[in-house]
Amino acid sequence: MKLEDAMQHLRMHEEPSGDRGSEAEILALVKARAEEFDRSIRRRDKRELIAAVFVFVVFSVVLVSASWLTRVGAIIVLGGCILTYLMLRRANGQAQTTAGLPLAEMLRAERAKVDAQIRLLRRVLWWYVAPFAVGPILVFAGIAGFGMMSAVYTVFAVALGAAIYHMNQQAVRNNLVPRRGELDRLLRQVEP
Amino acid sequence: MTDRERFFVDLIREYDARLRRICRTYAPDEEGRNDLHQDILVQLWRALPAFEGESSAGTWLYRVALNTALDTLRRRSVRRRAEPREATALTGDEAPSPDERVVRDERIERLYAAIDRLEEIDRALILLHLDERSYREIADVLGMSESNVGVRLHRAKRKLADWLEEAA
Repeated sequence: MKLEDAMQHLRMHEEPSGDRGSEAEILALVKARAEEFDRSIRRRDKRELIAAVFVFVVFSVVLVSASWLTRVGAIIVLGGCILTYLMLRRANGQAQTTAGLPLAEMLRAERAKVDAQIRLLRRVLWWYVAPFAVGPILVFAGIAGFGMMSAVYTVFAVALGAAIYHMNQQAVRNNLVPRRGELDRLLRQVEP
Repeated sequence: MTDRERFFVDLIREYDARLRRICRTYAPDEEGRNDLHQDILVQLWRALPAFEGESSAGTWLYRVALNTALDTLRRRSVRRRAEPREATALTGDEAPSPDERVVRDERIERLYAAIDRLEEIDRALILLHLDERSYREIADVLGMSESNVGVRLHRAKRKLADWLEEAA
């Protein structure tokens, strides 16, 4: 079978398969799914904002009512809170649609986004884990004193922080690095 | 109906067969094709406000559709099926005899099976070539130089021709 004959045959005789709906049904379905997609993004942004405000309010109360050690801990948590919110907003802000770009540009934009996520998670110790582990440890010590309870809480907070850090690094290794490799592979196909 | 809705409906009416072909090339089964088709329509609808007519509607639609197909392929790690594709019904003014239908299906299936063996970008090149797009338009859709389009398309067609010969 000659290639050009096969291609011409396909052009002339292929009947598109798949579900068929009326134009009104298709339009309604597409709009509903697009709205659901946009709603889920708004819900995520709202959840992040509520969580940040909640932590901020709680530790602001601690800030005005306790010992210097507690206040230092609260300031670290509040700083971490602002930093986390800004970092996530910046990362989410990069998630603009690249759908209408030429394929090669879209792949480069996707790779840049994956690179940014990799950098973000590799530094998660400094902008997320450390403030939210060290801050509460100081707050706890400021309230409970340097006793057994504080020691136990410190061990717990450090272990939790280490687990969160480990999970983030695992996500980089198992998810983001392979995704970047896949984008590199595709880009090699479009770049001479 | 708003202008956006009218434009969208007209676009789909004109290009749906091409979209179905993209879905058939990048999704492994009927369910996957229908899901991908819906994903592409949703992305087209969402991207529509950003379409400013710098490129033709067809070029823009191909960009959105191929970007969505490749993105879906990556995210879902869709694996291409090795087995032959499902038979496709044929329609026309003169309905083919059962024997003709089998031969027609077989020719189309064999071509799709060969296209399936190509790398992802080469599949996109062949789809655009099947739609008789010029090198300039293909380059616009894929973001490649025209000379690179020519070289890659020639190689992809040679591979397809070899595989079709083997299968014959």
